[in-house]
Amino acid sequence: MSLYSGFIYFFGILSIFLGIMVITRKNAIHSAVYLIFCILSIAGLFFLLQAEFIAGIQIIVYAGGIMVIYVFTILLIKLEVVKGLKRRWEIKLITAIVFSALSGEILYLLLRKREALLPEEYGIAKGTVQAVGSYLLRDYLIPFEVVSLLLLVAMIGAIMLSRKKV
Amino acid sequence: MVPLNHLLIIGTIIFLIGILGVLIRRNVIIILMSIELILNGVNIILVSFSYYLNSIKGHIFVLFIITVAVAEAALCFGLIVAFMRNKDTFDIDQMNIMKG
Repeated sequence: MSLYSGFIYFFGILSIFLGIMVITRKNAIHSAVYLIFCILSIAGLFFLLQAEFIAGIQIIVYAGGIMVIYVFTILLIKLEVVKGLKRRWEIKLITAIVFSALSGEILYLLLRKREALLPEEYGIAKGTVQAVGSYLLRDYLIPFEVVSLLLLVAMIGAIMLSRKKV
Repeated sequence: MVPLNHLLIIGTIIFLIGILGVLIRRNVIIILMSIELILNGVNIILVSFSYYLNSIKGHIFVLFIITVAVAEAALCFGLIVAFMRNKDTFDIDQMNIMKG
């Protein structure tokens, strides 16, 4: 196993472990810190898969932007630990059935032995800023503008929601 | 080299961890973090497909997904702060004002 694939498995297993830690912590701020490191290890995975621009965006926007919103909200409102997983047993049963059916189906489809129709040589296209930018502004110009409209609407909505009198 | 299936399995496991978090937790903030995990699992799958198919169209979709995640985080936290002003709890089982 080369160093390259070793790093891919390392980051993958690390991000799975940190993801499990995110959903099992009692305290929300601990979950937020684990989520930051989970996102950073996923960014490492993106670097190894030659998506350099996406990895940078992942670090800047996710780990630097979204997580700051999460931590600030946890700090702004009174932190109260919701105790345990106390729920009625019907809800637990339905949860277990739905989750095991979904995960069993997806993992069965992935673990079957099938030959994928991949090109002979892969890993040629590099996701540099130049390549992604020229795609974004040439072929995907209208979705790009629509997404900027979405951000404007989200900003107006957040301002409207956080006023004193809604 | 790493086979494509292993990367798909890593992405799928992160997606399933996110779904499990949404189903079992009651704290609203941790449920939102699980939604971020779901989006990240999908991003891993898109990036690995575009690596193995020599195309960077997947990266464009990852950019759009990240933008939607930002909008969702901002709006959800506006909603949570507005909710906390009226009812003093994080528990999602208490959020039943609109129940008929």
